[in-house]
Amino acid sequence: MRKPVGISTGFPLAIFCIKTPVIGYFLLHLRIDTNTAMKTLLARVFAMYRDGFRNMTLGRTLWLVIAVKLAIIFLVVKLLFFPDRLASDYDTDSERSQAVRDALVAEPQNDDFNKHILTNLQNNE
Amino acid sequence: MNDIISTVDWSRAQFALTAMYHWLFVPLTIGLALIVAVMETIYVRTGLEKWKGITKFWMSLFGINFAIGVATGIILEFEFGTNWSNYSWFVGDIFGAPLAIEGIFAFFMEATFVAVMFFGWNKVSKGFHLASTWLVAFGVALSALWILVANAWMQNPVGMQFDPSQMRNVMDNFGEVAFNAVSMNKFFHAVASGWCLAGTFVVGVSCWLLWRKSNVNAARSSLKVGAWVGLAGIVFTMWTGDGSAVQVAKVQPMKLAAMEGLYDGKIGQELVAFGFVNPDKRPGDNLEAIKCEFALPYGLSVLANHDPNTFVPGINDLIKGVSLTPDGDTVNTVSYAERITMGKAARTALLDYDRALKAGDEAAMSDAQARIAENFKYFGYGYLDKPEDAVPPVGLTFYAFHIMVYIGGYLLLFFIVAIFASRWKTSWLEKPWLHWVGIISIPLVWICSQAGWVVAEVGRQPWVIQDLMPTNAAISDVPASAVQFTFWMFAVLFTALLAAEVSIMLRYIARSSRKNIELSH
Repeated sequence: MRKPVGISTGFPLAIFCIKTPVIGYFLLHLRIDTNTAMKTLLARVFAMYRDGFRNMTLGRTLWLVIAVKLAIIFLVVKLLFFPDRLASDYDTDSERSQAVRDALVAEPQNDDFNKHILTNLQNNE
Repeated sequence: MNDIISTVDWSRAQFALTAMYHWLFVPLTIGLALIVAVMETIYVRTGLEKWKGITKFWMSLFGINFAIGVATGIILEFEFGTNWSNYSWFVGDIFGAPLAIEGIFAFFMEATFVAVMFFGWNKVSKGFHLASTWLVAFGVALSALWILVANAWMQNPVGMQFDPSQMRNVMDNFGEVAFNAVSMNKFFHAVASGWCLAGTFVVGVSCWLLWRKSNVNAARSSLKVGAWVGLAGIVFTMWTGDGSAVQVAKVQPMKLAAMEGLYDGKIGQELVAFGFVNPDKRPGDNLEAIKCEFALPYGLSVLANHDPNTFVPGINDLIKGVSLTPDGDTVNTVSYAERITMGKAARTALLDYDRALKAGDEAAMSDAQARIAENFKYFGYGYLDKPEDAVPPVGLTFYAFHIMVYIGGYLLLFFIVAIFASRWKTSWLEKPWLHWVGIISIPLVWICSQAGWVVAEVGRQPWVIQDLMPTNAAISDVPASAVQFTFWMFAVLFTALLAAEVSIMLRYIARSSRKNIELSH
């Protein structure tokens, strides 16, 4: 069996490829080379956000919509109605695997398959 | 059993509802981000202040859509964990990796640079602001990439191996999962359709301003940009749509047959340009499939294989496992009855694996695992009762496909007329007929966009993962009543969000129309 790679290599590589030029552009453009410059930069970023939020007009309505929506989605919908069933019902990945295997092997969707299982069980007995 | 069927149907309906509402917002975000970036580029390059006002006007509409649409997709992930637990476990890290990357991008890239876009005017240099706007446009498209990679894997599962001990598909080739022909066509098709949708939106709103004789100069300038971006979008959408059709013919031939209502294929297969699906038609009977048919000779063979003299299989051919060479010789493929036998063999092997695992019999586990691997290609067919169960809803797929194509063709003409009017025949921009065509095109482009997703998702039924997992095996053991309740809850929530979006947008457009858009900066 080939070695699984998945998120362990592909994911950081993709993030690195995208983030490096973005951060590089930031640093080059703003000429950050000292701690003082960094403090100035942070102050400017803070001021941008502060003034931006203060001067919002339409944005206030939109932030209200976002806040209400996120509260409904995460505090009502997620907590009350959408538990992650495998995560909440089982403690280990092994138990979760077994639960899915049980469901996929024994699900009574197909008469022929049920007959096959019955025959198999009778033969084993 | 009835409860299970009901749970499956309600879960499907809920997922469709959530995904379709989510897709109302997403393409406008993707396309409008690009249009705003183009407008700001014109502003920076020309130095004309009117373009700053125009950019800020459309940026505000982008902001409204972004704010209302953001996080509506997260509910789909909730549904995976609750309603589709077998599926979400079975797909393993293949789904997790792209979604995690999407989360990182959505949070860091879009959140950071959207703030600069809105709060950074006169705070950062023009160049830096422009770069931020382009990075937002780039970021939203990149977010879409990872979602579409995940979706494409469900249509064309590659780059993984099934591990029965974990009961998961383990990714063994990230590049194959992310950058196969199906995912790339799907990505560019969806993103380009977003440009087309946003282009129509900009042209339509501009037409409304022209009809009101308000901000005429800003409306004409906006219309020109919207029309060019829209034209580029529709041309690219058609090109990638053609690529998608070739891929569908290869990996989902049953979907292609359903899109065309084709039961018995032939060499040099025609394309149905117009017709009605016979609702009584079933696989294997002798009834007429399409009524009042008007067809383009060789059209489907060209669409599917880029060759007019090739065979395109219909539903009956696929079920029987029959194909024809260009010379007319019959070639046997794997019939659906054989696939069901192989699927049942894989399921039986999984049952044996389970028993061996519990008994600690490693030799039996190894033997069962080999039998699973041998038949895994058709694992999902083991959950079907008969070959006809693998046929998607033909009527819905057929009509959605044809609606998408008709409106797509109309939009190509629409953008050509809009460009012609804005560049060479400016007197047309004063004509009410053009204004109303523009305004009416706004709902049409959304219908086209939604129809595209109906083709993609209904056409692949009964598969949640092509050939590996049918919808009825993917479902959790949840009561139908619970899913039914949350379905209606989402229907109310999303309708309220949509009403809020439309209301806020209309009020903003109306209020802006009373001011000078070019000077509002």
